[in-house]
Amino acid sequence: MKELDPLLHNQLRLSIMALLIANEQVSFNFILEQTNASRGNVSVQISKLEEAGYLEVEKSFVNKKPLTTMKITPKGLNAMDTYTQALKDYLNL
Amino acid sequence: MKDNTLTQQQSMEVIREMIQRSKQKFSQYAGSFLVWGWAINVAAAITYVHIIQEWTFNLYFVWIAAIGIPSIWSIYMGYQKGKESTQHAKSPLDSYMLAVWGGSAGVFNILMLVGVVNGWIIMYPLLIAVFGWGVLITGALIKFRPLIFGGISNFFIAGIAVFVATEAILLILIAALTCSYLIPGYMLKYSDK
Repeated sequence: MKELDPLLHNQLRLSIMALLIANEQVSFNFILEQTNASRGNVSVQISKLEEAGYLEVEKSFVNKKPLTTMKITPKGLNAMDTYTQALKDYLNL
Repeated sequence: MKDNTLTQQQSMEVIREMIQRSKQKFSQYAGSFLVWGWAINVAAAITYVHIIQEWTFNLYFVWIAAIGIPSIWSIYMGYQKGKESTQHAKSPLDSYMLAVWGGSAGVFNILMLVGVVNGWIIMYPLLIAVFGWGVLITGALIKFRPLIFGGISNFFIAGIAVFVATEAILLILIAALTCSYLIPGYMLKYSDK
C-alpha cells in the first residue's frame, strides 16, 4: 500500500488543502474562520505547503488593507489526489 | 484546531468537513430570478392590459423600468459578490454563473435590438428560449431540479409562442417566466432552510 504523504497527513495542513480543493481561491482570514486555528499556526502551515509547491500565496491590498489569498497548484492537486486515493485504499472504500 | 497527526478515518472526515463548509448556500441565487421574474411579468401584464383597454400612453418607460431596475440590482449584487469572494473564498461556480448570465445578457441585448428594429412579435419565442437556456444551465450547475424543469418548460412554451401572433403572446411570456423564474425561484429561496 502507498505511504500517506506526511506533509498532508496533518489535521491543519489537510484542512487548508481541502479548502483549496473546494474553492478557486481563498483568503487567509477565510482559512482562520473555517479551521478555528491560531493565526501563527495557520501561517506556519501555509509556509510549509508553499515551500513544498502545493499552494501559491498572493499578497495584495484591497481598500488600502492587506489581503493574503492562496490557490492550489497543479502539484498540490496531484498530491491531494494521490493522498485521497491512498486513503481510500487503506479504508477499502 | 490542533496541529496533530491523524488516523486514515479522521483524515477522510477532515476533507469531507472542509468541503462541506465551503459549500455555498444556493438560495443566494434566488433573488435574481425573483427580481427579474416579477419585473418582466408586471411589465408584460401592464402591456397586455394597455393593448386590451386601448390605452394611449407610451409604454417605453414601463419596459425601461422593467429592465433597468433589475439590471442595476444585478450589477450591484454582482459587485458585492465579487468583493466578498475576493476577501473570503472564490468558488468555481461564481465564474460559471458569470459566464452563463453574462452570455445570456449579451444575447438578450441583441434580441432587444432586433425587436426594436424588426418588430417584437417574432422576438418573443427567442426571448423565452434565452430565458430558459440560462435557467436550465444554472439548474444543472447547482443540481436543482425545479430550475432544470423550469428551463426545459420554456423551450416548449417558446415553441407554442411561435404560433401566436396576437397580444396573447404576452400571457405566454408571463406563463414562461412564472414556470422558469418565479416558481423555481421561490423553491430555491427556501431550499437551504
